[in-house]
Amino acid sequence: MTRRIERWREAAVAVLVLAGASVAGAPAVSAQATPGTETFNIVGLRMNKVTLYKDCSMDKGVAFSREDLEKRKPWRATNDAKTAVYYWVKLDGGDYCVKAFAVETDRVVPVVKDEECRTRVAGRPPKTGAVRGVGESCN
Amino acid sequence: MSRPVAHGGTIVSDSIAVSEGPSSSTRALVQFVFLAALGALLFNFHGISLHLTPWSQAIVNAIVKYTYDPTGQQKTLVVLFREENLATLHESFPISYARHAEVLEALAVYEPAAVFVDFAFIDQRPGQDVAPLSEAICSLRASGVAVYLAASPLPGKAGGDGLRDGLDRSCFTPVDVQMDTEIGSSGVLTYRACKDLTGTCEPAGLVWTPAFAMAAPQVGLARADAQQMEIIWGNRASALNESWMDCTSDGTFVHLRQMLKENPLASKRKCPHTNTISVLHLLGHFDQKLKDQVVKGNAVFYGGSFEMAGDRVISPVFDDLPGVYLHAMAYDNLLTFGKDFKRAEQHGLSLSRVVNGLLLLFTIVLLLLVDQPPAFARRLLGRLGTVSPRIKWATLAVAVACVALTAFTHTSLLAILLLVPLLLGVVALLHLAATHPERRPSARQFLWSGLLGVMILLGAVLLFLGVDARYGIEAALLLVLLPGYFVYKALVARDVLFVATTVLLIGAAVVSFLPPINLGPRNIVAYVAFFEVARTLMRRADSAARRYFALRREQPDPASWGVSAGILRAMDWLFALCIRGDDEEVHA
Repeated sequence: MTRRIERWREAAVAVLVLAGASVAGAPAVSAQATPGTETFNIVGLRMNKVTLYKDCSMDKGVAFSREDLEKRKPWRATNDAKTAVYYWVKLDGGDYCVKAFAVETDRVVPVVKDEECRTRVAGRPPKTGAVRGVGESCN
Repeated sequence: MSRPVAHGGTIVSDSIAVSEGPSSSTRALVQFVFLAALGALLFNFHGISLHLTPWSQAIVNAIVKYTYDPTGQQKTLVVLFREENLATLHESFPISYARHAEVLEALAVYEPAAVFVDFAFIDQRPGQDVAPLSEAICSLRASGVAVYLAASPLPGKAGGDGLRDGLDRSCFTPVDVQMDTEIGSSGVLTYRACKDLTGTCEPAGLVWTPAFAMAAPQVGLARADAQQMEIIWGNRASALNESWMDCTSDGTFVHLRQMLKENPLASKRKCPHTNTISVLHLLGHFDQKLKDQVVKGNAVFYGGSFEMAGDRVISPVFDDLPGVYLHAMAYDNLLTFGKDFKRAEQHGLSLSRVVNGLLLLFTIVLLLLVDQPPAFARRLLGRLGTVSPRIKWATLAVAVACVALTAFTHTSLLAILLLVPLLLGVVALLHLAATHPERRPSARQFLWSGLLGVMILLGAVLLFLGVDARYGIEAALLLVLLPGYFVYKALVARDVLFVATTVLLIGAAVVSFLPPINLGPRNIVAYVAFFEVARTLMRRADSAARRYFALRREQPDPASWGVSAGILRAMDWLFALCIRGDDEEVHA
């Protein structure tokens, strides 16, 4: 009887491990939602050069290289829900943002809010008798 | 009731000749021509073929769901710029060059093998510099990624590809993004290889479509091999899509209601087959697992989904999708089938039309034999019964061996192998139809069949609800509705010939699908429906002719018919054409 219970326990553990492995194996893009601002370190660049944007303004770009980063390590950064795909960094006293995909961080940065959750990609949009943009710049 | 019979070209009843009529071979020939004309009319002029497309397509969808190889799905990714992403990224429509450049930069980090950009950069944009976009494209190309840009289909634009100046042409390949028209309620089922639909894309100047341009180097497609393809819309589940999209289905009762109210394609799938991420996923925190499992070394289709901007594709499987999915699905097909991708119907005498013609011919021949076969057919096909058992067993063994070889080997001649058992099946069915006419059921059988019919109907409805709830509408159609109808036809209607005909038509569709024929799915439901409709029509015509001759026997005087003797003779001849079968002696 005890042996049978043990066998059942082993089987249950095996099933749990396999289930865990299969969940881990499937690629998924929706990270767990964690409210609030996170602080972390940037430890590398994924490109030879990245652009930093002063106050996150796209027309105020400054080139930043791997050598520049070496001088500033550990480089503190934060994320913000308002600028979902950028991290904020300090550079010479100013606030800059950098493209999130372009940098390596010392830990996984959870997205502040995954806006894509439960999205419907396929669907029948309402039929309209106009096309986007027509008439917008007539005045 | 006395029964008029055709006997050596004379319509006789109770040994009294009514009139000289057409010979049995003339009648068979005229009936053949009539059925062929009817078939051509119905199939060519959007008759039953178009109306029954959703049912055929639903069955095809179900088969594809369980048989489509995941090869293409694993190597294809759609990156979608969604309407909602505009607000999050503080963007407006049309998306700025700088944002497109950023997306391409991000893609370079994920190291795909090829990128197709489904945005056409045609017009100059005041206040926007195109240089960062051009640099991003060239930078992506320099990192070893093949880049394809949607060219303008509009004539008269500068540069040949219709794209604006300022883009470095040495860094990308322009591709033709023109979409084929929808076919009935099934949606877009074909995909061109280039602008030219009539032949191949051999002339070097012709711009290829994205899927062909991207898949050609991988599957070894030459320009001569590129023909318009019939898209097989894969509908496998995607774990990636299910991790962030809402993929819930409408529910069993909604499916059933929509199927009965409209057609089985009224309720479609909500999540695409092609792996998809949004630009927010791409531009956000770098995801190593996403890179390793989904993007690296694969083909990326970067497109948009915006309201009131057009660019939607209607498919037989999914609710309307952004247009980029059409290219992704075509590419998926090319990777999955390789050079054996399914060829679409073309203008002129194509292989597809020949196969359709053969299917129609087979159906018509069977129609002429079924129920009341003519004596000459019984004589001819009856000889098969005299073949020695040893030859019969040997033939059966050959057929089984061919089927086994088809199932367990991978050659480019699968269709040829399967053609042998198919032809043997055709001969066996013709023999069966000619030598075993339909028998009337006894009174006991009639009652029992009625009870069985009700039981099958109830069982099918319950099973349909259960299977739909658990495995989806495709499975319910394939595993419940179709077998249920076959069981009904075989056990209740006792129409074994119908079942055998359908099986052979399905077999023919499978043969035409396999290499080296490589045609898309056939509309088998339309052929089966034609078989049933024409069969009913012929029975009605036969019964009308018999009533006519009964009346003629009772009232032989032309004056009682109100017409001249000449017209009555012509009527005799005309009605005699409608009579099926004859009572000639069969000398086996």
